[in-house]
Amino acid sequence: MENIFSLGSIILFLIAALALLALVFASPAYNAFFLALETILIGIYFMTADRINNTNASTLILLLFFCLIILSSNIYIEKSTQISPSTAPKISAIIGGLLLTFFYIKLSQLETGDIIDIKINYSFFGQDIMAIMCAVFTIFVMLICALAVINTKNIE
Amino acid sequence: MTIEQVLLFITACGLVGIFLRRNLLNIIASIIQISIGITSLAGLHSDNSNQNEGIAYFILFFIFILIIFIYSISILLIRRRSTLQIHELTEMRG
Repeated sequence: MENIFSLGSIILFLIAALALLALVFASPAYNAFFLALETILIGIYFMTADRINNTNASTLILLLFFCLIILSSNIYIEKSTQISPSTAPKISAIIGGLLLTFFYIKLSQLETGDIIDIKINYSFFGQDIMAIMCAVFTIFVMLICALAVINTKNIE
Repeated sequence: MTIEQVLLFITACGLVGIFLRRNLLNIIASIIQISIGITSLAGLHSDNSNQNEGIAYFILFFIFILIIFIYSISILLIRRRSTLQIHELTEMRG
């Protein structure tokens, strides 16, 4: 019982509940708000469990900024276009509940400890990252150019 | 639940959310949810070398570009829809 009601377990339960709420809620602004809270809670858990390092901290801060940008953009678009959020679809709630049950009950049985001890050496990807980034940026420029052409044709 | 289970659950919820939603803004939130799960798992299972930050920033850069692209599509759709509505109003007024 002590293990269930510890601080780490409560934070993990809150993170899972926020992920489920982000799946179920229909409003995009609420989803972004839940994701921002989720990112903060993951950072708090890493700090309490002494598993935080430079990579975790910097990426979580960047993701928090992303969530705040998306939150403000979604609120602006929702208010400016008068999008009325529909009610939460029942199939999302059902699938989210099934996923939570599966991850809570079944995955703990499959877990053998070897999965947790895996350490990934990302140095294999180090030399290819720059080439992949250039390729992604080229695709992005092509897509934006295509959108600009479509927009210009639409105006004409 | 362990933190690995929770992060996998977050990623799975994001993946399911992409296919369940039809709204582009909700799909952006699902993509962010996937990136939270993947980058947290990557940071959790990384050894302490300098190359680890590169792959995490690469994932975030890719997600950022994807989000900007989806936003541009959604704004284009909204503009096209509002243009149509204005034309319809002009025709109704004669």
